[in-house]
Amino acid sequence: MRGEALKGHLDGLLLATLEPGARHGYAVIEALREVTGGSLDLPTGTVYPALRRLEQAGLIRGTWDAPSGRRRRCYELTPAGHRRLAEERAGWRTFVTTVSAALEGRPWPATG
Amino acid sequence: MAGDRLTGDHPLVRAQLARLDRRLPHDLADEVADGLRSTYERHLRAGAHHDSGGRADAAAAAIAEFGDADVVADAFLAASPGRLTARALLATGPLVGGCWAAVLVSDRAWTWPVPDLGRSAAGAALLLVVAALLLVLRAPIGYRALHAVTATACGLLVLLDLALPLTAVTRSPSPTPLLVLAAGLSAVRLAVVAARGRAVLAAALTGWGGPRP
Repeated sequence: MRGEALKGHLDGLLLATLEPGARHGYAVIEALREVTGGSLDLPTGTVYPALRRLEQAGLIRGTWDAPSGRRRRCYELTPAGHRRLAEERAGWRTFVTTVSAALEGRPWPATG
Repeated sequence: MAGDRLTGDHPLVRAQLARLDRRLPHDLADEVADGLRSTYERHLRAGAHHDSGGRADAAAAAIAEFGDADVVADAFLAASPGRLTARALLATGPLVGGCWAAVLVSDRAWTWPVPDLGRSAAGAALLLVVAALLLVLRAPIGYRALHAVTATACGLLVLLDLALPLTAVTRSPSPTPLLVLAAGLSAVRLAVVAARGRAVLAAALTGWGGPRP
């Protein structure tokens, strides 16, 4: 998948990396690298402001931690973040189903 | 400060951290420092040689992957509560301002018995607000300065959005539907500024707005 297209779904990807549990910023970057196969075409440092933006929106919660002496901010999903992730998934499935049907010349599936 | 604690890192990495420290509050710089340092360590582990050339290669690769300090700092500014607030206020400003201009012209506001000083102060405040918000969006200023300017602009805007409807209601012979609409838009803007003002003020004072209440 093209990196530019992935960037358009960055919020959903970040929320998904936090679904299994709390992670600090660099662990989020690593998880993101892993799930996208390294094809996310953006400076990984810009993930931090994106995390802060999600925190500001109340979708994730951040707390400071220093397990090995180095201060790290750990993030976890809030209930609103879980709801947003579910919405992102539902929207993505609808998009994929619709575009797949159109590209493969099948009738569009009924909605609702 | 982040740079002070990273004396074991490569000079290229330290230079990046020093720039982040200059542009961002310490909490943000600390968090980013951990990411850049971890990226550097990963490249260092992946490299075959740990001599000075190998360390320089690892540092350069880490910075290329992580992003230059200015790119990361700019991304923080773009996502900051101050800049988001300034963008929202500038986007809706013409609508609110246009509505009030129509009210003032249709009600012949120049005939209202308002002291010249009050008119001048309101005009100057409006110009100052627009200039401050444009500065927040365009100028390469620091994180805290950006939020201090936004907070000042928000404070002036609150005064204007309170003074203008009060003056219009008391001076206008009979409130028109247009006046009611303009006052309503001012009330909505007051609510938006009140909702975002806390995060902007927190970022101006402590460096980060924190989560919404």
